Amino acid sequence: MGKHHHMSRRKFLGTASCAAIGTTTFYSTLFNLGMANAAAGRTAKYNINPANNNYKALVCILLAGGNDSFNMLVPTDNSAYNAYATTRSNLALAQNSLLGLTPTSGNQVPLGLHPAMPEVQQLFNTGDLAFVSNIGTLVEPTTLTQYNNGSANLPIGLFSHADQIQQWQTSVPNNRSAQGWGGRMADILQAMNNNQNISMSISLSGRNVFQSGNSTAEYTIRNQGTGSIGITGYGESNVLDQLRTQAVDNLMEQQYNDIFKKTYADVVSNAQDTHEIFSAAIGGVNLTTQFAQSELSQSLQMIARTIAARNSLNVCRQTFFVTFGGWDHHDELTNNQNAMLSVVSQALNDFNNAMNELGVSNDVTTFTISDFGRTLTSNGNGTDHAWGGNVMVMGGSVHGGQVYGTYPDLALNSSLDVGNGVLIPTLSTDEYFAELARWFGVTDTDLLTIFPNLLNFYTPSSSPPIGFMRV
Amino acid sequence: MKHFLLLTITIFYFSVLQSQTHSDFLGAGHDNGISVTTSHNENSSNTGVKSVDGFEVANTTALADASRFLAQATMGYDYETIQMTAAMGFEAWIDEQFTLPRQSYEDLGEIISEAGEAGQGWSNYRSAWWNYVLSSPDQLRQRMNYNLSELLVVSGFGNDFFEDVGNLSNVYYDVLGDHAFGNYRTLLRDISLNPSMGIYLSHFNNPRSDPANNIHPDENYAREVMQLFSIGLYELNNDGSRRLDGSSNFIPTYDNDDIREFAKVFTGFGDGRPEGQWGIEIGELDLDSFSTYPMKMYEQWHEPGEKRLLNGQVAPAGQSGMQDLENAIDNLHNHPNIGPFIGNALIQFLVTSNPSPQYINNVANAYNNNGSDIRGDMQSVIKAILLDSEARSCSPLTNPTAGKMREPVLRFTNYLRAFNAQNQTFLIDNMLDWIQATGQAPVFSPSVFNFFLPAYQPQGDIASANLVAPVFQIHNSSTSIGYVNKVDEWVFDENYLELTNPMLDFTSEMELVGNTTALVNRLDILLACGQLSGNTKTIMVNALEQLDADDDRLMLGIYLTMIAPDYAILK
Repeated sequence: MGKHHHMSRRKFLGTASCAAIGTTTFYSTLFNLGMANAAAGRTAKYNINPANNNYKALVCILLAGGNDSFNMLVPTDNSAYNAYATTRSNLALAQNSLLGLTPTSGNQVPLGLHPAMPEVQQLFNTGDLAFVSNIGTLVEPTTLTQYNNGSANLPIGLFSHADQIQQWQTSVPNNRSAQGWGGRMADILQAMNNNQNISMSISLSGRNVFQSGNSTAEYTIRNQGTGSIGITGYGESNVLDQLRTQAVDNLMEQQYNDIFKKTYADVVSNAQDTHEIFSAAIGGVNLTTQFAQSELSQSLQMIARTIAARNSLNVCRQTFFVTFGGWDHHDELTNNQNAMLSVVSQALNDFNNAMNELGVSNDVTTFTISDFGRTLTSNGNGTDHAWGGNVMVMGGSVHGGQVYGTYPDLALNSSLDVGNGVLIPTLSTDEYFAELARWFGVTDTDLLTIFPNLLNFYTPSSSPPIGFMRV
Repeated sequence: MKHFLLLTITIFYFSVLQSQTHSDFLGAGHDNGISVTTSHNENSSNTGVKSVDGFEVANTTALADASRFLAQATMGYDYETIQMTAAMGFEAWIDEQFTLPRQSYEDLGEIISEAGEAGQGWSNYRSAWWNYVLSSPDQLRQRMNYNLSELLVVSGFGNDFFEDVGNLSNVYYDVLGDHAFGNYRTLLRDISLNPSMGIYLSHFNNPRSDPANNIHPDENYAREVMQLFSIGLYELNNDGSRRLDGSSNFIPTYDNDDIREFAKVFTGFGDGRPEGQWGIEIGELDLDSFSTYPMKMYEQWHEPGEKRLLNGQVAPAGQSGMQDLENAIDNLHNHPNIGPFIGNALIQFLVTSNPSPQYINNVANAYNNNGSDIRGDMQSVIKAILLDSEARSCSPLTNPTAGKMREPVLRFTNYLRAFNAQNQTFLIDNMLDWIQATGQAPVFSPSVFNFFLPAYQPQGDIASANLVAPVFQIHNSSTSIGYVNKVDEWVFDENYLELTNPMLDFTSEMELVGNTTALVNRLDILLACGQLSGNTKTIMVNALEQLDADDDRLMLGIYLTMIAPDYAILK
């Protein structure tokens, strides 16, 4: 597509007589294409080397709705298990059903894994995957006393989906800005990519907070075909399609004073432009790794194909975002979580295999996020919104086979329990994400820009915030 | 009259086109000398046009206004409806709509399921939805019903029960439609008792607390009924602005303790059938019949004792579970937030994404008191929204931040109804891929948070201007093109709609294919509410002129209208 009419303002820029095409319209494309206008001055600080051995990607998997992750990672020794079983009541998994984890060092209470996740068990035991425990949204380190007497600076809208799912993507829980840390990172790092015509932020799940930046936005693809789609008939040679193409160009490239019309049109025309680049690059990819049929596996397959096309796309930094929804298990927790953790486990394994096939496992780090942990206590056959939870991080650069942070005491009325088994996190999202951003190549100075509350938890230095990444 | 009007416009535009010096494509630079742009009446400054025939253009303006009103108030409409509505006046049209009887989705669903295997499960609901959306005359109710289903969400997305049992959606949709012209308090109460909602937000079979086993009441419905269905997260002034405390901070409407108190209210609701029993697993129930009975109270499973409600009120100890529910609903319905909160939500769905404080205030006033000391009167709210000067005056047409993006589903129904789609069978099942293509399909949102959030701000110009644009949350590089290609299928793929048999009637438009200007003007009024700019029309006319005067002209004209930014954004 696009052989005959390239839907591009770049072409029109040279046509001074075209009154409808102005510079305002052109610069507006910078935003959507993720061009590095704001970041241009920063490039000197970064090693702008498109050599492919310098490629790095972060893959963010959002388990939307709030994964009950204290049924994903469960204590196995008798005393801790009994506390778990007492608190979780009719939702407790049987002790003998838990999959054994063999950590590389023994700094935690012995832990086992939900029985639906044998692939993750394997990934952990072979050192490709780590857990981070009792992590959540925090403005500053917070104790139960501070929580109870109101002296802590708490996240806005604790326990509410809309706020918490957003804060897990912004890592700024003390305001409602919808700019994500991936977007803020892209504002700075987009300049590293030789190809400035495609955003370094690629989404399999549409618009999202994680990848929304100040001067960059996500490029959305789907998990079928070549990922991107173009306008049917666009650029084809029959008379009707030629007319269509020209008219579509003209409609989308008018200069609109109307803020909504302009945004609508920019998205359409940028999507067509980027499709031509993207589909050409991805069309030549062959990947032999088999992926399961789940939407999540299929999305990770498309991410793998995009990574495989990194040379053709001529990029050295990318973030990917995919949502797997339906984790709000107020009801039917046991059955539903069983089925969904199985999907996650298979998908992570498929993706890990593909990264090995491509020889990029050291260059790609995959991590999970979710709205919040869930109440340790039962509401009958499900659980409600809580706070701290457990997450997974996977890749060749991860010091796998370990659980980072401190797995909490699950007995009720513990020093972290604000009621009903809602646990105050002992690690912040800032520490988790700063460790990933640091690996991705963000400088210490920029870490503080991207994570404005970071100093409440961590002072950038040669020591990592948590230590799960090899640097 | 119709022909005379079109003839007048035709003559005018034809004369303008004669002055154009280019016969090739309009494109880079080829717009010199085209004065057609000034003839469009979008801002009612029809000076140039009036010199031709002021009377008829005034009628064009009236038709454009009626089309705009109907785009705000219906799922779609044809040209005759535009003319009729322009003639009768908007308030009279609304009053007439209020009198039209509601048709039952449940009953139609039953007829469809008797028609055979293809009408089972989820496609049963979709078939009923399409039949009424395309054929029913109560278009204001259908529109309210649809938008209420986006405010008070249940969804078949990833939910096997809704997937398997069409009645879960049909009966729920009936509850929304039943109260669309009634009272919001009754609506709030009835959705709280509706078994589909009980399944979706899990207060069905929600037991009282059992401290010995660390079991507490499910908090799901308690949270969402406040956050999404009634009062929202922060205390509001009547004009929708947030109230501030002494330190200039927003004031939360409730905290987690309040949610736990409300959670106690929503315990004990179970199977409402005469033979119903407490505690049967959902999967073991005959959901077809289960879905038709409001949930009933099983007192022994209802949390005893006092429940602390908001603003210092209580549901006292010792009363029945149903009395607790009535107290809780009253508590929310009498909360000062509900008028501005629900008012703003409905304005955003119907008219504009960024209503002024005055507009919200007007609608909240209508909610608070319909003039007869009744609170929550939906008819009063609907009139306040649709007849407000911010919806009706011309100034939004030229205000670059007014209006909203049309939802993809409404663009499709707009198209089908514009050409009088006649459904020949019960089964219109072609929205299976709509979630993928456009991010939207009826009663199929990814979560209780609908397809888009009311405060969504796409980064860039809109966020910089501190405006919201909810529907843009589903307008991305994939869905924006996905929609364009859907339009391509509707108009160019002969098999696409024929498969599902809504026969479209293009007779009137085909009569105009010999005159591209007349054709574009017709499509402008019919589909785009007269809001295509002069430049847009010129682009279209110049493209259509290159084609032979046959159905290709019409189809390309429809295609370009429906993907044009001037159409996608309804001012």
